[in-house]
Amino acid sequence: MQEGNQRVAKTEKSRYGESFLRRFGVVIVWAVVVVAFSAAKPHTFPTTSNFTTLFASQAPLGVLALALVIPLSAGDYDLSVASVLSFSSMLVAVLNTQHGIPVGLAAVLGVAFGATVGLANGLICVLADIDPFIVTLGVGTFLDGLTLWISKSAPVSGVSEHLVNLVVVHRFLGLSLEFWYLLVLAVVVWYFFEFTPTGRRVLIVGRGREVARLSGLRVKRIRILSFVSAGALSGLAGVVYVGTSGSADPSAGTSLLLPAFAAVFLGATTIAPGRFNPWGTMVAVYFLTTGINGLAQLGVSTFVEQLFYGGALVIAVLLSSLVGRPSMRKARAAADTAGSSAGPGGGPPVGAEPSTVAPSS
Amino acid sequence: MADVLLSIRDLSKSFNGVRVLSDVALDVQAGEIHGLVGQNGSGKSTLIKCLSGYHAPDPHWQLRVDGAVVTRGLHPGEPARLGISFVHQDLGVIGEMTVLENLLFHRLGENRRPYIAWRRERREASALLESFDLDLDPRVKLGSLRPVEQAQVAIIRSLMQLREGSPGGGQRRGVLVLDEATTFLDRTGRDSLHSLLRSIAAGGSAVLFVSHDIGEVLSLADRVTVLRDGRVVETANSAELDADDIVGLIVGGDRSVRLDDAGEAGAALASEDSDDVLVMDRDRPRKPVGRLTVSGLHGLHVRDLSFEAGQGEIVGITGIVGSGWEFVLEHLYGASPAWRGRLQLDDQGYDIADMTPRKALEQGMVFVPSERLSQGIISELTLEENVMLPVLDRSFLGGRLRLREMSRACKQVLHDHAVHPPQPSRPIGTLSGGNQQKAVLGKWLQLRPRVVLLNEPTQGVDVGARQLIFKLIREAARQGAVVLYASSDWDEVSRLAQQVVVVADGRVAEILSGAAVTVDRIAASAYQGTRRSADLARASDMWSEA
Repeated sequence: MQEGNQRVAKTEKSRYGESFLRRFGVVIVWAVVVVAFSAAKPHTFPTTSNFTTLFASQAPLGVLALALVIPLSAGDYDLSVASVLSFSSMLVAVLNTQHGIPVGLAAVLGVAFGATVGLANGLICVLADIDPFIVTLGVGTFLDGLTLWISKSAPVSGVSEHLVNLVVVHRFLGLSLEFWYLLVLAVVVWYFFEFTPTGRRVLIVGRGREVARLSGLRVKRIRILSFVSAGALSGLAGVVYVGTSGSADPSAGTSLLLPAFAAVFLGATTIAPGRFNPWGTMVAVYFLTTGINGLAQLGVSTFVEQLFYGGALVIAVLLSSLVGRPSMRKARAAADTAGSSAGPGGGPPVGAEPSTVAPSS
Repeated sequence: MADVLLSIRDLSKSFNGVRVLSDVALDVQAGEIHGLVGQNGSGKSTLIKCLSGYHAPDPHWQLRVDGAVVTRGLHPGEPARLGISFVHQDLGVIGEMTVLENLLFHRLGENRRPYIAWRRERREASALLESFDLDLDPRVKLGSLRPVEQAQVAIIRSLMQLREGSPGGGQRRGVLVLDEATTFLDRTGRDSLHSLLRSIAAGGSAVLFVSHDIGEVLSLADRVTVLRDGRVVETANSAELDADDIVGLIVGGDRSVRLDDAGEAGAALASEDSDDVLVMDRDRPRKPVGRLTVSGLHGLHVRDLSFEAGQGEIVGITGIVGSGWEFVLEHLYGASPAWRGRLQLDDQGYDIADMTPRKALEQGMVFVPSERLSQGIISELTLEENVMLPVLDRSFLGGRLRLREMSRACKQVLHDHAVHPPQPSRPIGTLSGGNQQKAVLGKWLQLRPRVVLLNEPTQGVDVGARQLIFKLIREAARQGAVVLYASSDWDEVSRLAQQVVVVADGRVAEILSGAAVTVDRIAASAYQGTRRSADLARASDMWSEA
């Protein structure tokens, strides 16, 4: 993690020319929070066991947040990711415990199912040109219903230990394997956006669909595939979720949707400010969970979780909009001087604004 | 003595020290339709924006509306209170809402009553529409109406605003400003709008009618004011003018001189290896296009358009705003769909209706759109991300993008196209308009395209950058590309192009070449279509009077 961060820092500093404070603000705040809790709870907070739990237990949330980074970068909301997680985890549990399907195959089916849902999202949103916000909200709710149906509205436990071993039991450097899976996935997503032409194109599609179209990019295909990958990664998040406890809960995803969004948006204010980015997202995931963990240790009630996640999301969005404001003003001023004399720009405003509140730097 | 309703004196406006309007004086009389004409950049829209309160004029002007005097910039909402209301080119109507809702929504900000008495409002709206002989049902959705009917609704709404703005609440005279609101209407549509405007004027109000269409202005307006270079050059009764007089006034006397570009700002334009092969894709060098032929291009705003261009040639495409020239290149590139038409690149033929940007690019065509900020660049992304988009695959070696090489290549492109500052990591939105546009040119010209399509490439670009952009375009042509250059600036077109396709009324009015490429000749044929319609209109007026 540390090493990854430094490498990003090196390439990004030269490329974005952002100030250190802006890029590492959240990391610094995170460090401050850690120090503060350590001072307040010296016996329980800064312990190896607390930190290992902290890092490992949040893998499903981390994977889910990474899943979101892709469609958000492409300018599309996907509100169905958490429901895909629930369904996929339930599918794995039900297939494995009630139908005797080997857990490996069940896991593959879980991921494949997620990809299929993503494909459906993409086809509906892109080909029929409907706002993804509403489509994925509907698809997600539909999936929640399916999850309750196949689980008979109750948690399903007793999933094969093979999976549990591979996710939480086995450790590497003291941390459960699920943490390392998350890290590898973050590297993959980062590599995709940094080092592949397709990753760059996704960014262009998300920021300026019309520019992308006129530059000959296959806008529709890119959008659909970003939904597919979000679906597949959410399915994977579901598999990791089953692995952490050996059981599936039909309402698992519901409590993760908002934290995932909070992490991605807060992540967009750091590391590579102004962009949805995997390392910022990772930092945000752990910043948020550290806060909740510490507050819980201070004896604050469980509602603090919602206060914290909800508050963080709003503050993150606020921050990124404040961060983005000066250049927006400049762009608008430029538009004022440039505009006026043109005829109508012909053609429909395809896609127009990305529907995200995409923070712009 | 004439009854002057709107009077402007000493109106000047400067932007960053550049004077756009100088000492404009304008009187509009009650019961009059007053035409306002001028070329792009003559100051028409600035004048209108001063009147609407969008721009604050330079100090020491005076505006008098029906007795009230104002000498400072107007606040939003103030024009309406004074008795000036506007219908702009986009009409400002909402297709999803009913006619009645569209007529009323300007009131929603005022909150005069806690509820809306729909039934009464509908009765009143119907009565108002009927009083102007408009057969419109207030309950239908505006979007289901024909364009001309939508324009009528917009005009009636402005009229309501005028009446309601009066302090006494009763009927009041006012000035209705139509800012190119008829540009995209067809002839019959315009005629029916004209009768509406005439009856509004007959009621004692005044209409200030801004248009590019000289024929329309001549047949509609009682008097005409001509603006050139920010000054009023003439105000006269339209009966005393003909279209040629007006074209002469609009263009001015001494513009036919071809300015030479000897004194260009001297930035280093590395003309690098000018091998004769055009490269779109390094692996597949392409032969230059010897001859480009467009035939029978039809679209929403163009009809049966045909022209040709040869290798190394710069062909201008122009006309008055709204005549259809704006759409020609978008159609060729597939940026906006055409109905039909054929594009021939040497022996290869393409159906323009099936064209997409992707296909066009594969044929070695590139397109610089007119709307730079929404279609050309992504302001918050870096120069590198914007400029290197078409060549990403070149830097993708061994499974990863070679960022350092890409950055170096980008720097070279920026340098070759005189983009300042040449820093690949800078957000493109922080550059000046001219540098943004040079970067966009660099993005496409680095491909060594066979066909370069440029739509208003100098819009919002300062003079120095303009010279460099011209130089880049000439260089591309010199290297063998076919350049099609669409612009509303006739001066530019005449300086740059060897051949000019003048579009009027969606058709090719004339193709000028060689010594005939002058501002005067372009103006003459651009307005030719509208002149014809003026003659028609006059003839039909005579018939109806007889």
